[in-house]
Amino acid sequence: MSIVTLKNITKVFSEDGTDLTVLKDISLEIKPGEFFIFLGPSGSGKSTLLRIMSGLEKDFSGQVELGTGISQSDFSFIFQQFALLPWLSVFDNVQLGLLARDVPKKERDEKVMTELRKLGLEKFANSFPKELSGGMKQRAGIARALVTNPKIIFMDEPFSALDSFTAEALRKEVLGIWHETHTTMIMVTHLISEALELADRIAVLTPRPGKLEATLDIPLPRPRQLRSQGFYDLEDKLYGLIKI
Amino acid sequence: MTLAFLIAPFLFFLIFSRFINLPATTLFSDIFSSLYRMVIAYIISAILGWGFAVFFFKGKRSIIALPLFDVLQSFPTFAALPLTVYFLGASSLTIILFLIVTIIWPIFFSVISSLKLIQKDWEEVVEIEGLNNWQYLTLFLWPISIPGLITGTIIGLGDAWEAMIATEIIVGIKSSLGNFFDSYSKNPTITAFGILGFLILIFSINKLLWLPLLDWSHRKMEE
Repeated sequence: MSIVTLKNITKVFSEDGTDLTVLKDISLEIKPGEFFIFLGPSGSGKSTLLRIMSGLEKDFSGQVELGTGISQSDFSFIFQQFALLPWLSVFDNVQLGLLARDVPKKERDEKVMTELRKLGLEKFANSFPKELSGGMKQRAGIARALVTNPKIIFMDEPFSALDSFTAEALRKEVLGIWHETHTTMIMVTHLISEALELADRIAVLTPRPGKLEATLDIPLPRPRQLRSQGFYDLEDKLYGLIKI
Repeated sequence: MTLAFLIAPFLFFLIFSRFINLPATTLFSDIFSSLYRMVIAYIISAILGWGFAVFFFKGKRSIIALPLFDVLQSFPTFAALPLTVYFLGASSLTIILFLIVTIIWPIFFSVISSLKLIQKDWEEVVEIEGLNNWQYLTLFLWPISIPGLITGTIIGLGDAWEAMIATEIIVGIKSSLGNFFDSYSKNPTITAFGILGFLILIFSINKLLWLPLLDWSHRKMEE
């Protein structure tokens, strides 16, 4: 029983009469509640694949099948560059999905404040994105993704625009949220250690065109010990699989 | 300071009316008649210019419409003035029509420029959050278009003041600033002070309204 099934996904970009294949024949299944990570270097089409799965990219061949009872309204997305709308306050950014779902104002206010409190942003509800640090912006992005109780959260290199300390803290927060909510997390990254710290399963993509090189189960116990022998062994294995 | 900008044009025109021995009520009536036409023309231009821009800014529609509008904005509108007067008479409607044609294009193209700055991931947020068309228009397109709307307004109104005086003189409509300047065409001093008063009025409107709005709208868009 899978929540998302990819069947022969191929994506070709055409520009000035030239075709460029960015994804070729990707097939795999993702299980409900799984923390699944696509790992690959630049040009492996991992962000494009995430957009195809989330329904943001519609022009591709192959099939994306969703599990029973799952629709696009069950998706949330956390963006690499936060994608907060600069003219809206943090509160208004977070409540967008609830407005779209016609949630009554009182319930909306409560849900937004609950998420903001959870992410330590309650004092910044009326602030605008330009007044926040990178880490706080991404926390607001995470709050926006969580507030609609999604069944799947897509994350496009969510920590890569942050400094290493903030990224580490946010990874832990995301893991905490995942443990708490059991939401299916589908993420892309180019960092092997990040993938190993977070993932239940890692799909390695090769570049130009993006093809599925291997899918790896990560049997390491949680919380992951980043300096353990098991971690190093898997890191070496993944290094061997990645082609540049 | 705000009060000074509010009072300055009125004070100037009051003293000016004494200086030229014209009843203040006549001078202010001329000014307000012209301003009234300008306001009506601006409201119609802003609604149409913004609406067209939102409708045509992207997709296949933009491929066809933008070059067409670019040609249309170059149309020498004054060539059609005699014909318009023939059909509509020397009326406020004729003046308003010509003001609309002057104001609408800067607004249209400035709003298009603002909307072209929409970032791909903002669009993706809208799609993933599932905003409906009304929410897309009011929460997304409207705020993004405001800097363009204000820029277009400043440029459009700048052109429109000139077009308004010219059209009012050519059409020969009574109770208008154009008529005022036409009446004193042989008196360079009155004409010069009239133009000065006109500039004080425009400067005050820009300083009080449009420039603060432009500044505010750009600050809203800072990331």
